Amino acid sequence: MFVYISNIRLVGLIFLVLSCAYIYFAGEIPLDFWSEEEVFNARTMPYMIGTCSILCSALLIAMPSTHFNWNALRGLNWFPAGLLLVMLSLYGLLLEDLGFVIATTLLLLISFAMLGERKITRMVSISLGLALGFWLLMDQLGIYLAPGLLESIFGELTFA
Amino acid sequence: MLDGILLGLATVLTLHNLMLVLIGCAVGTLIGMLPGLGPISAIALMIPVTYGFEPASGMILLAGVYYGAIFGGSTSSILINAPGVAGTVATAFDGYPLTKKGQAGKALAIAAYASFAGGTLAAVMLVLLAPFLAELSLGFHSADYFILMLLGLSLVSAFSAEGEYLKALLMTCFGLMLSTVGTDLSAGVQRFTFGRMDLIDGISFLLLAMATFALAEAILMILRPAVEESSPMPQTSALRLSREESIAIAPAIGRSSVLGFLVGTLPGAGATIASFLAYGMERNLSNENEKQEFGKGSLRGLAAPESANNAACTGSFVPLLTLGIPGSGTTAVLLGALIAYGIQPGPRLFIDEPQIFWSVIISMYFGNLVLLVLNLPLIPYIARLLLIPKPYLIPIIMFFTIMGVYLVSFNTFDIQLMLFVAICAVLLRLLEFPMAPLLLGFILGGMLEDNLRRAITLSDGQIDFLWQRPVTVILVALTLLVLFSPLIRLVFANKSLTRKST
Repeated sequence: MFVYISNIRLVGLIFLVLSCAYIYFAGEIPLDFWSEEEVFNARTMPYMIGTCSILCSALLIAMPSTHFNWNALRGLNWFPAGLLLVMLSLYGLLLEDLGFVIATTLLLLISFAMLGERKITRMVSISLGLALGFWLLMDQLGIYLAPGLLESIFGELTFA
Repeated sequence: MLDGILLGLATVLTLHNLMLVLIGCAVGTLIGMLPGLGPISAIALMIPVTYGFEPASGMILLAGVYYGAIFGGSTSSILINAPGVAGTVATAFDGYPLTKKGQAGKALAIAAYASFAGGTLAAVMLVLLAPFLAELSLGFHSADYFILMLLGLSLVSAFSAEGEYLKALLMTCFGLMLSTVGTDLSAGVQRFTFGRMDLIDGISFLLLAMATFALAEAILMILRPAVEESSPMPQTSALRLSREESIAIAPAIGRSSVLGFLVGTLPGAGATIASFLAYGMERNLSNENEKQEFGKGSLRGLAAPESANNAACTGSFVPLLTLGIPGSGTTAVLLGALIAYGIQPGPRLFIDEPQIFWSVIISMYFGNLVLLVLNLPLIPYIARLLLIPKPYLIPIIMFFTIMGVYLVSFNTFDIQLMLFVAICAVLLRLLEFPMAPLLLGFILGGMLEDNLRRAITLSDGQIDFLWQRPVTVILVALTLLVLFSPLIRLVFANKSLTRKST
């Protein structure tokens, strides 16, 4: 009982700290001489929201009456989910250098494999098909997606 | 009003827009059917597609996606007992037992007829009610809007699950906080950008909606692998209903449609609450023998929540179109889309953009017809989508969510920001913090600030605008009531809890 209460209080505390930080940074919003005199300036709304948020977090700490079953957090597949998020982040970083087709094919291929698929031909055909198909569709619609490596290997690539 | 209806008909009855209704319903059904992906994800995924369209066409498509997603959700509820949408959880109570009895076809047919009737009846009520409300709200001032938005935000928290009130309120505050990131347009100063150019325009609502719903739901699918149903895809039997069966469910459909519509118009309530209320109402109204049937495959128990959730979807357009205030996460995303198209939402929408106002309403009749005529016979084929293995489905969903955001900004920073938001959203969802209030707060944040600034400026820096007009006073009183009654209850509940434990 005690453990669960202190845990939900911890969440409330995190929110309280975040809200205080928000108010602090609201005070850093640059104001010119005139708007400092005004009743409603760029800082007013953030101050109001921050105050409400501090009140709510404080209430959550004071009255942690929400029942929460911490066991629900056990036995989750953190590892594959985390790995997939890292993959997506890398995809974002490399998308423009590797080029859309290569980056997307790799992303899909590795994610399929990571989630347990083992049929190589099916994996390759789906990932390559989706990446190429999407790229061609965007090309036809006149939307530019970085060709990246493909362009440096094969030269100018446009079908439109 | 007749002019409006004719204008709506003229807009909808073009080949282009009819096709969009068709596509919207089909895509909505497909996405809504996937367990875990609800109407918010479905709409968010389709918004980038609509950027090239006229605003009216865009809204027609998205409205189609909305009720298509609800319809699709009921299909997976009935066939594999895995509701794709919270609004169709009650559908599974009696729908899945019918499937187990080998009457999946009949269950799907009832769901389709009930949805059609619910959606169409609600659309009639919408036509009657919306213009009236829109005209009434024309007399509202900035102050009234400010209070009305606060009321909407507090209602969403008040309607949240038992004991989750504070969490919902906190999420609303965080949504409001996120909305202040970017350049303050009135003063031209940057707020909370921490010197980053990428944040000057603020966080896009599409990014937030995709990250907190579609992407977070995909991550949750990996974190919490569903217990695989060992039973293979059920065969769908004949889709026919007998005369007696139709007569038995007709009154249930009528009652539930009216109830669903009314609940749907309330901000914060929406399809989920409507479907549970309708199910409960039907159960209470039936005699002892029929009551035994509920939960074991009662036809009335299936028809009631199905008509109610579709009627509630239509009902939720009332506050959206007349006041410009969304009542649910889904309508908040639709409002975000409207703003992204450059349309000013609010009661003037009815006067300034009658085309959008009426075409969305009229398109609902066609959408419901499409769902009935086209989707019903195709359902056995569409349902094969449920057989796509998760290792393929999840990465593909993730790819489309990321592309949806990237193709609007062409900024890879957005991908990283989206992942960060999605991680926070997953953690919060695991801690049972609701995400819809966050989205609602985020989308209403800008308008809330504008209206408050205008009200304060007009009253020379005083806050007496809060009690100068009767309308405002009533709204303030209502807001305070909604905001504080759960808090007071919470204090009392907490007191008795501590008394018990000591």
